[in-house]
Amino acid sequence: MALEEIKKRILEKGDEEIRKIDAEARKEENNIENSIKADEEKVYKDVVDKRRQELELIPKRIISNARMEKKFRVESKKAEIVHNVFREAKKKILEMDDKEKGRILKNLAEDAKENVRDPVVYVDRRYSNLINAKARNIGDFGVIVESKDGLMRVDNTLNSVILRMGPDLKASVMRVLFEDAKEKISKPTP
Amino acid sequence: MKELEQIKEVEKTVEQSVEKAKRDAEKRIEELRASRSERIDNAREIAERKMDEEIRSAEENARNEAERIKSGAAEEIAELEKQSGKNFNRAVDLIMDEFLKGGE
Repeated sequence: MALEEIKKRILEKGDEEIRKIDAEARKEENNIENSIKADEEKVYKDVVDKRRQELELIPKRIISNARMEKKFRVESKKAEIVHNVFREAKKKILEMDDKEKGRILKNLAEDAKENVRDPVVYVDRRYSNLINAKARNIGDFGVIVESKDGLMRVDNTLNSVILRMGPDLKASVMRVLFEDAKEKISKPTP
Repeated sequence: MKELEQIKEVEKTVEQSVEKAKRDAEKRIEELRASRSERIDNAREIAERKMDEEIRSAEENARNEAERIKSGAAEEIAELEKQSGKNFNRAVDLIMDEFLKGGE
């Protein structure tokens, strides 16, 4: 074999070996690259998934707090207005003239007596001149009717009567106070 | 003799080229392997930044919405005051009527 032919073959063999090394290296590089990409995607997805909850919860909490605050402010205002109405009603009753107060006390006493055996009517000392009843330090307008033996008792004083009528009366008062506002407000608010 | 030396010279050159190809390939692979943790850290940072931005934006929108809701309360309270002002005496009369009926 001629010298040039031998040299050519040696060079070709070398080139082939280099190509083989390169090809194997690229294959290995591809494997590593794919593995890194998979890890990158996994890490990215893990972070996004983990913080997605935060993304949903933070705005929800802010909106929910605002709604609660709004509800609290509106309900507090309603309670304040209702309280003022009750206070005004009590004031008007207490400011009635003696003749009217006497008539009311009699009605309250008659009403209570219907439910009490051998009734004894008590009234606060301030109003004892307005009705035929025993004076006692009741501290409120109205009457207390007790049976002679003390076993039965009906409290028809102003605060007790209003307290007994409580939730139903409060609901009726709120309907009267806010019925129009409810219709107007219920339209646009979220 | 001279020819043999020439052949050996070519073989040596080829061998050096092959060795260099091996070293280059190993170097590339090592560099790629070494870049793994940095690239993963980058991916984590990119995701964190993206979520930070999304959360910041969602929080800002929610705060605007919250302000709108709260200002809605002021409007609602103003409307309550207006309506209750109109109906106040009627509500007072209702309580008085119920009381004057005599309680139980």
